[in-house]
Amino acid sequence: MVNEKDVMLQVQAGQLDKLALLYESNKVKLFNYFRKKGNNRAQSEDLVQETFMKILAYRSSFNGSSTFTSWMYGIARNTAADLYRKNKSNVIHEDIEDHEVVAEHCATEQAVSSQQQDIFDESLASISAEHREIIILSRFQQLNYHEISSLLDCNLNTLKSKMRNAITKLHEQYNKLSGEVQ
Amino acid sequence: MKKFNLALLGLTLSTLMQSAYAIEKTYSLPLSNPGEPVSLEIEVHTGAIYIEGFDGESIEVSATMEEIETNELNKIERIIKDVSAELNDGRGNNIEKIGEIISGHKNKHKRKQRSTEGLKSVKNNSMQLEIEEEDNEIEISSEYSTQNVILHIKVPKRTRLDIELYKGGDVEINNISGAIEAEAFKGNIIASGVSGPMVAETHNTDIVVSFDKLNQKNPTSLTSHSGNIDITINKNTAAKVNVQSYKGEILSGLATEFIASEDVQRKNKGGKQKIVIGGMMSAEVNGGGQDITLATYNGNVYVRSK
Amino acid sequence: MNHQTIIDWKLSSINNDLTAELILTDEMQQYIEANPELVKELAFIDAFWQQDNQELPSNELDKRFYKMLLQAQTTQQNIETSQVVKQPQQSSIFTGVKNWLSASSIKPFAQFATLGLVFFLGFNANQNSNSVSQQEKNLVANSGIENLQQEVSSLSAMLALSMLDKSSAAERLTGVAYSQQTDLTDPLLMKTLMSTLEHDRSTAVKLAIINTLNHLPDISEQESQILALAVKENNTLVKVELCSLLLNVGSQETKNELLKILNESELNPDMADFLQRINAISHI
Repeated sequence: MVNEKDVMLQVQAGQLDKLALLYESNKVKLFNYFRKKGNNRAQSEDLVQETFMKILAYRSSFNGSSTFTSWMYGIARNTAADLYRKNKSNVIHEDIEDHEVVAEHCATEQAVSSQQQDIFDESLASISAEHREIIILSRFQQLNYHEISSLLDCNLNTLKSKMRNAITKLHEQYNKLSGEVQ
Repeated sequence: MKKFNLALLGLTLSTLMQSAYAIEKTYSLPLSNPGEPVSLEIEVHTGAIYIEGFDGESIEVSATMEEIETNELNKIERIIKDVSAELNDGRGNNIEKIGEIISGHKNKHKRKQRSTEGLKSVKNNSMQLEIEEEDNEIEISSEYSTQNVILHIKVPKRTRLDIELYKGGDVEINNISGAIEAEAFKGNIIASGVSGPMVAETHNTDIVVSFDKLNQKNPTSLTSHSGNIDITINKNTAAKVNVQSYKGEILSGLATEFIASEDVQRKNKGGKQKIVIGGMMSAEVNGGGQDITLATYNGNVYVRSK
Repeated sequence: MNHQTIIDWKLSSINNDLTAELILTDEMQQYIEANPELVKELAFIDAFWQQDNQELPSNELDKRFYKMLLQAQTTQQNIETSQVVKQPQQSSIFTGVKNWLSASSIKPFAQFATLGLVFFLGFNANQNSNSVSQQEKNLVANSGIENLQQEVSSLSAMLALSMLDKSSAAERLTGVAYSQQTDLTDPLLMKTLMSTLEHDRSTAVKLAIINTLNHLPDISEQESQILALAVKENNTLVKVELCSLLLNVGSQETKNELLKILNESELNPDMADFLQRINAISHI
């Protein structure tokens, strides 16, 4: 496995082509990160592109004291936050047309569990932004507690209790939604 | 007249300082990666810095460090204050009066001195000069206000310089083709045989630069509050020279005329009314090229061609 | 022992939290078995963590990324080689593509090379195809130029951001010059310029940014920040320029506010002199 920190340091030293390695290994995760945060496909792709532009532009600010992953998500979070500020009417829930695309996408790949996944997605979209963020970073982006706590600038114990609350809320929502469906 | 007085003052200060204890040392540092880019960063609180580019692959440092006694330091500052007050008095510079001030201070100083018979000076080893080299990046620093450090340094011509000097004498740079950044708070910055880019800043002392050629990659900018800015460029150098002085004069030896930048702007904005004081003037020399910006508030700007 | 302990253990184990004790003790096992609702919650967490519905971005994203990378590399090369001889933009992009494709570090990754090749051929097709009519060709060429201009503008913004971040003042000055080449509509670039104006240690860089702002038709969004900077600035050169900027392009309210503050504050002789001259003019 390539050490992404070293690769980023090479990009920083001027080997810009090495950014392709980082892009290839992170594009899907980042794209899904933005999708889970409630952006549609086009917005999410814009955000991935913008994140990598910023990684390139800010490459000299990467100091190697954090992992590349947590540095990258720091940039990704700010990029998404900028978009929300720019476009305040942006609703967290995706529009209907887009939802159909998602459903179709799931149907082709995993028809069996698609209904359950829809409920997962819906539960996730219905909890608070702070809770959603923690779950997305942990579950979908596979950041560890340490990385998440430095990213969100809170201490480890606070993060753990937030995580527990988030999961409880998510479970409640899931129960409610799956109850409605049945 | 003013120049003469200041020279006299400089002479007196140097004699006062000579009474302090001094050590002289030389160092030679071979580069870790010969042939590769080199950078030199210098931060000195009080002293003078002379840098010369040469064809070697090492850094040669000769440092003279002398202690400045605190009460001596205060006295020097007092003299400077009194003399400056006299110079700025407006009734013409009275050399005799200035002489009195300086000798008066000196006499007072002498009366206070105690007998040193039978005593010997205890050597002060608190003087410090740090020199570090790692991967062709050299850092030299002396941050103590109680020592006067005079550095004579030889570096490869391509070296990139970053110099800060708070007090004391001048920064002098010769034959450097690398980028230069320099800031001097009390002394002049004098450079010749350089190619830029150069970004230099002083408060009320002069910046004098003679360019061999001009780096077209990054802009050059020289800024001073009350000092004069004096540059010389080759007559075939391509550049866009921007000059600005609020209260001083601008003197040019260039064949190209200077045009007010604001005029150009005003045309673009359909004659919108503007308040312009000390606006910028520009001259595109030899068809124009990288920017050389020279800005001062009280000083004069001299642009020479060689 | 309570629900909280068990949930914490579960979350720590799925999050690879090395600071926590990850062994499931008999005591914990018994507690779980005694609480069916807890079993359900744990099952939910497992199910949620195991679901796999990752979506894939479109190929368009790849194209955009590699195009951006290519431009950054081309520009990097152009900056590294002397800018005295200015090459036509298109030939340098071709050179960039060739260099990029032949870069040894790329070769092991066949997919990148293929993508690059696709882009390269697409670019060539635009230039050389004989099958399209002259009119179509012109259209393609025109939109090509427009696109190129747009890209150059966003590229300049990107380069400006990168250069403003450098430790060398001369390079930051280049960053300011690049910003001036854009229309300054990029909010991130504007934010960076304003924070550089506030914090840069070089007077030259600050003056260059003020000069850039002077070219803007409208500074209403930055006005209050500039006013605050003008008031607190200690360097006379910078202070005078900030004041001139506000007096030139600021709104009437800001101008009045500035003059009021200046007239009420203790100024050094140079600033007092500046204010006197401004007052003299503004009364006309």
